[in-house]
Amino acid sequence: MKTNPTYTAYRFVKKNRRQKKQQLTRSASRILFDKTSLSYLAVFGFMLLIWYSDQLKNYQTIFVHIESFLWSRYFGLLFLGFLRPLSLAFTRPGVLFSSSDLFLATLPLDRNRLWCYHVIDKIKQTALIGLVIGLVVKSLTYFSWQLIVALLLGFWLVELLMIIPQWLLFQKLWYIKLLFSQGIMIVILLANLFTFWFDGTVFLLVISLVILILVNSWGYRRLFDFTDWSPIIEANDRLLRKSLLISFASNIKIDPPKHRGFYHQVIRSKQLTKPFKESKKYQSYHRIIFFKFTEQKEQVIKAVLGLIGLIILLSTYAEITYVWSIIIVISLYAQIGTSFFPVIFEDRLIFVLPWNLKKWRRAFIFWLTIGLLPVFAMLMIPSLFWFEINIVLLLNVISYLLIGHRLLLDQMNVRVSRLEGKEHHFPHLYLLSFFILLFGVIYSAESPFVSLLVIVYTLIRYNDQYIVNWERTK
Amino acid sequence: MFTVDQVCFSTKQQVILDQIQFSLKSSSITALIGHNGAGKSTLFKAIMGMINLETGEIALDGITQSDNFLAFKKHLSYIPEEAFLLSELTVEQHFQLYIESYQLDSVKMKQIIEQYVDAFEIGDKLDQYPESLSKGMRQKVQIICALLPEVKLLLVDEPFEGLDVHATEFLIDVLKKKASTGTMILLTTHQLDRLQGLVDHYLMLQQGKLISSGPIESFDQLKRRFDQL
Repeated sequence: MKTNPTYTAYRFVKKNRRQKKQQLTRSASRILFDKTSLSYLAVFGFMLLIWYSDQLKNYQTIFVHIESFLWSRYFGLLFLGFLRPLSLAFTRPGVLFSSSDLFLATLPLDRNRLWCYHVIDKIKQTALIGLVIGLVVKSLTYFSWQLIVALLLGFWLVELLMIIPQWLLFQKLWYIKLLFSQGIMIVILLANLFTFWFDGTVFLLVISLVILILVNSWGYRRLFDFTDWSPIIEANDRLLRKSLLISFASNIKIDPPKHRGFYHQVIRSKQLTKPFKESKKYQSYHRIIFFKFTEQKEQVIKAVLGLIGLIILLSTYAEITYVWSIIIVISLYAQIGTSFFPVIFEDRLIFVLPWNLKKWRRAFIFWLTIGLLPVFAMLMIPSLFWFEINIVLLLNVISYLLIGHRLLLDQMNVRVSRLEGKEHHFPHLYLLSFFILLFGVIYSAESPFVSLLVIVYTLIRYNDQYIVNWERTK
Repeated sequence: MFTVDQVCFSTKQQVILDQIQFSLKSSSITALIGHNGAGKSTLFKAIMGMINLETGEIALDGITQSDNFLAFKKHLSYIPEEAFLLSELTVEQHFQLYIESYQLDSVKMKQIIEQYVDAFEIGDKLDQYPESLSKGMRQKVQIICALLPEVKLLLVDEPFEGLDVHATEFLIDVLKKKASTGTMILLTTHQLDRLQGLVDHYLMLQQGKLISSGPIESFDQLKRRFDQL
């Protein structure tokens, strides 16, 4: 029997891609692991498993309770399966149709077939992942096979039915994506909430599945109507190149696909296309810093959430841990915030330009200072519960804020010196500021004079070079 | 004077630049020629500080790249083979970024930009982002950006790639004018015919080695040598 040429070409490209990736993965593995440490790791893992299974026996009854709860909410839980493809539709088309496929489509091969082969592969891959997850869950927990199989089959079915909706939704404008995903999320939450009063989830799920089947049959005929290939190809090519192991070994990061809708529609307003005003000397610097922060938004969000988590964790425990949280959060903010500064210059265009580091520094400090204020406000909320509200507290707060800003400036000096290629001679001053912060915060609760001294120290160290001139910086 | 002294760069597998040594004099236009993979673009990247040299020194009027990279960069400008523009800035904002970075007089520059914009026919693209421009248009934007500052050294990687005939002729004129005011120009191209009447010196690279250099006495002779590589 003669094989379809589209299928042959598809398999050929896929096979070669897999071989190339395997080759790279093998090289990365050789760099990262050696046989001796792997064998030790395997023994350690085995011991850990034995210990874990011993511990697990103590919680057998809890698993029984959880299982009965999961069975009672089974149909409601299946609704959650809709959320993943909906949220992924912001960044991923769901079907890995890449630039190679677009190239194949320019040859006398069938584009629709190529797309379908990707879908079949996705169905197989999802089933395989489900099987692995099922085996892992079964071996690590006391859940029954029936529950695991029922959940996996249910989620698998939902995932399959969401392939075409995700593909179509990815190509829609950002606000349509937002409306759809948020609207469906609210419906799902309500459906789950209603199960406490009356169980209509089976009915709702059946209706949803029927709607999904209709959407699929309608959408299948419109898969390539008004398709803008460039975001699809860009997102899929990135995903195909992405490999955690290779990235880790080669120290080359492949960024996740960008939220194009949000980025293009919200951040890129018509206002931003206007030329920079000559009266605003720092406008171009602020614009680039702003965009670099939006580019790094995942890291920024992670850092902010980390700091918030730290504040909550330490400030709710005891007064002394709250005091430690002030020191840790302020110094971490200075460290993390300034670590974004060199990222600006990694851009090739910025890199080749002569940098006016004085201006870059000043503009960046402006952003970090603005960012310091909400972080600091959050940090100070627990003080209302731990300390008396009086003039001493106010004095302490001012001293903490000033020393926080001082640390920022010192850290920035270190970063700037590194970019200038000079030996940075600031660490001792940075360390001094840190120790003053350390002892200042600890002893300020006992003696307001410590806070006064901290304020005097920071004010003395401010000079024209360091002061952020708000008028000129704007 | 611009000097490249014993510059070496290699990856684990192969040597990309092997003890490259040459110097350029002011007002000279030098062609860096060689086949694909000879190391031309890598040499440009080395000069721009985009890769770390294993050995060697690069200096421009006594300012070495390793000692004072920021001061070194102030005196050179670069037109890459593939335009790398910021997707966040419009065409006009790119010009402003260059004016700000090189500390140029914005009033004086306005006139020069107008002249370049007219010549390269991108007047209607000023408020557009790079991705809405064609490859040739993006290259034109990058060229204008790099031509704005009066620098001592202008690096031009495949300048005529993607440019139409009119833009190519205009660029050749500008490069000649720049050279007449003292700028050293180092350029690479595969289109050797374009070099006739433009360049006065050449550097020939083969597999990372500088195999020949000097003033261009006979263009036909140079072409023959290039074909024999």
